[in-house]
Amino acid sequence: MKFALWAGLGILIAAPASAGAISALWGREVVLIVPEAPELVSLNRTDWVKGQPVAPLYGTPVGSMRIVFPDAAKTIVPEEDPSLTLYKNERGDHPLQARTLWFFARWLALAGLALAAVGAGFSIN
Amino acid sequence: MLKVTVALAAIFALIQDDGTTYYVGHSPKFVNITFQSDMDLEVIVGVSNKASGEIVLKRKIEESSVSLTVPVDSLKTGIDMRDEHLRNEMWLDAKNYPDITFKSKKVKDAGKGTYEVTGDLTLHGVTKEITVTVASKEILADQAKAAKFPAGQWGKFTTEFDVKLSDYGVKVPEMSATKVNDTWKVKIAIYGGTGKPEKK
Repeated sequence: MKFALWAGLGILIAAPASAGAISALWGREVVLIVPEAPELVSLNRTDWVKGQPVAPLYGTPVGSMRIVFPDAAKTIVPEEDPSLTLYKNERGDHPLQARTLWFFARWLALAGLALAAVGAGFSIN
Repeated sequence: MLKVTVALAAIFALIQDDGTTYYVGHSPKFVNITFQSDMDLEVIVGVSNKASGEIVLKRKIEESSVSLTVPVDSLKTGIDMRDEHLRNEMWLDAKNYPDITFKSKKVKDAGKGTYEVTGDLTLHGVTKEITVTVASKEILADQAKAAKFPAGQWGKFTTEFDVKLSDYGVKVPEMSATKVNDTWKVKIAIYGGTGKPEKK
């Protein structure tokens, strides 16, 4: 059962480490938007005044989140605010969120902890 | 001050003497309805680009009205299986209740181009009174032409509100308690035009 102990500890460490690495290396902080058509974006721009929110020019903002493996074709860096990154979520889209990776990593880590505990229990006995 | 005056003039320009009816549903690009559920697993984002209805604006704002219909099967969350679940009898039961509808009962001017609209939201066969704040904006003729709008006068109407599924008889299944929140944030951005949409 030493194998269970070490395997459990391995999973306990590897799961969150993997989620963190994937998120750090391939994730991007974005404001998710449900986009409007380009001609409507041009229309929205005609009334925009500096200082007003930028994301609504391009569509309906959903909120800030970290997207993993973002598709460059769906990424917008608005000329009105280049510090912002918008990500288009069109009807039928389902981008991978870092939140999802962390959700599964937590459960895997718990499973690893349980496995390690079982292994430790048998090892002691 | 000038900008406020122009904005107010633009808002009143939306309303002709007898009232102006803005029809919704000319094209999917003129309908942007999002609904989201924030959960530990992910933020579920659903989209519909299909709606029909009318927004009638009158000089006496309290005589104005809003009616909107959104087909349940137009709601897409990005995962086909999840969309099927959303439509089945455990959730929105699209077979028996194919549409989500809103019909206003009272409209009040809330100032600065916004209106407080009270009406009946019907979802899953259950009707509840809700009050939402709607912002309206006139699309000027040259703007509409540049954006290739169909003929007629156009306005943009936006609102957002929360919907608690359990209030409408939708019981979130136990096994998906970690996945779907009972409260959904709904955001609506629609363009209405005075020309009637073509029947399809």
